[in-house]
Amino acid sequence: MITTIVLVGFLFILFSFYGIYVGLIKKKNKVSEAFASIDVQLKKRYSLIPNILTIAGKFMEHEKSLMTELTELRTKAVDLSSKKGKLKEKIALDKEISSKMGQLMVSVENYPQLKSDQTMVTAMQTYNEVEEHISAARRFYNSAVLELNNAVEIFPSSMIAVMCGIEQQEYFQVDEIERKDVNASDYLK
Amino acid sequence: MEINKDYQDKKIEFCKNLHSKIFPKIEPFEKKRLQYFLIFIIVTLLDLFLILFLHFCVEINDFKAKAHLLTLLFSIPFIIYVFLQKQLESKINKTVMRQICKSFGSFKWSKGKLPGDDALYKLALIIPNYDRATHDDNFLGTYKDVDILIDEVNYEQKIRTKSGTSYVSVFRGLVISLKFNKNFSSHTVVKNNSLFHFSPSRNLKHTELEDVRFEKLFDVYTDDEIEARYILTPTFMDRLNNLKSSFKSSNITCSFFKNSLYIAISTNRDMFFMGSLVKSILNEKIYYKIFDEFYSVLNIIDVLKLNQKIGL
Repeated sequence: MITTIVLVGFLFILFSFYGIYVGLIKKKNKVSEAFASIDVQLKKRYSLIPNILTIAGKFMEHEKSLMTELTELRTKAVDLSSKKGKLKEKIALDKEISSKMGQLMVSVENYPQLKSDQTMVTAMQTYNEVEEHISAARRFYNSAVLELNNAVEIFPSSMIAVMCGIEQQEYFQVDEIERKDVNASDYLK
Repeated sequence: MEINKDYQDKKIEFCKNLHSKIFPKIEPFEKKRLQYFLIFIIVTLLDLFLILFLHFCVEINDFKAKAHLLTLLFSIPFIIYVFLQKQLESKINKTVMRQICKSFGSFKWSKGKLPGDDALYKLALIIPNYDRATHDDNFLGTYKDVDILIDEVNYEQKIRTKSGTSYVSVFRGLVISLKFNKNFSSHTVVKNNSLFHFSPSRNLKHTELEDVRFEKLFDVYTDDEIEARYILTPTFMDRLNNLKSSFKSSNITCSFFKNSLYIAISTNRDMFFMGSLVKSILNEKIYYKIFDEFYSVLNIIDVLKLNQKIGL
């Protein structure tokens, strides 16, 4: 009788630990899936950048240096996207591209002909939609990371995480500069 | 403030039309209403007399037969009332609804089922399973460049009782179809928050979003987590929270399906109701209430900012 109880108890603990292990692996894979989905959205953005630069290049003669920088960054990003891991580098590059594209979009305002060009309007609308999808993908990634980090930090799954070498992941975060309030006088000169 | 000013302007215009166009047309029906009311009173009194006569003066040994007869006699006044009230409503409905529609631009009012809607609502998972559907008032038009269809429906399920089968209402209220301001290919359903997250479909998984207040009010089910977040931005979640507060209904379900937004609001009453036998049809309050009900539905477009394409 006692042997049966001990055996049942042991099996219960074993299956519980197995269940926690499976849960951890699922969460880890969900983070990978979420990160891959950001990559998919970023690829769409990288495909769109040459089109925008081609259209803008016809009108924006004074922004050649910005467009050259963007082309270089885009090439780096495409090259990096084919490599696995490199999360920090990807995040840093993504922020740089977002910043430069933002500058380009603001510069478009100085070229009325370009602003009213239908192909440019369509390209910018598509770009904005892609940006919204990237933002949604980032939120999904952060949500997956939150679930994983909770499981890694909270006992008893933290024990199994240590045994399996599963660590906490970083969130997609904004820069300190982006957290500060925007001063309109910096732009309206 | 902008929304209130818009409401006030439209209400003033409706008030003018109410007195200049609606009342002159429906005034003859006030006499009809009094006639119907008189018929109802007479039938009720006769019925009451018959019931008393049967009960005290006629011996019926079969208790079951007597019960059935009395039940039938008791129900006659209700049947007559509903019949006469529907007759009256059908006479004044067209005139009043046309004017309400004119106040808001290009709207068409009709009564009854529109082709194909029930099947679409079921695919969108906005309505429960049902055996019988009754469509009442519906409005089709464009408001602030957003295509909208407002469908007043009552879905019933068949249940077996001791005496046979009867129907029980599983959803009574409005189903609103709107063109959404973003393109998407996935299916996302937002339902009232529940303890156990039972998905409305096998394809849809429960997902948790960041807005704490939103998570307390709603559960989200989707087949694409990224598109769900693309649609349900933090700003949009806040607007859905405000929508729930603005409608006194506790039961609101939203479905984002085939580039449209479907909203089911359970009201458990007949909205846009007019033509009571006991109250004068020349009472302004009846029509102001209908106007307010219609405006509150169109206000969904303002609350959710569906007429704006700024990505939020």
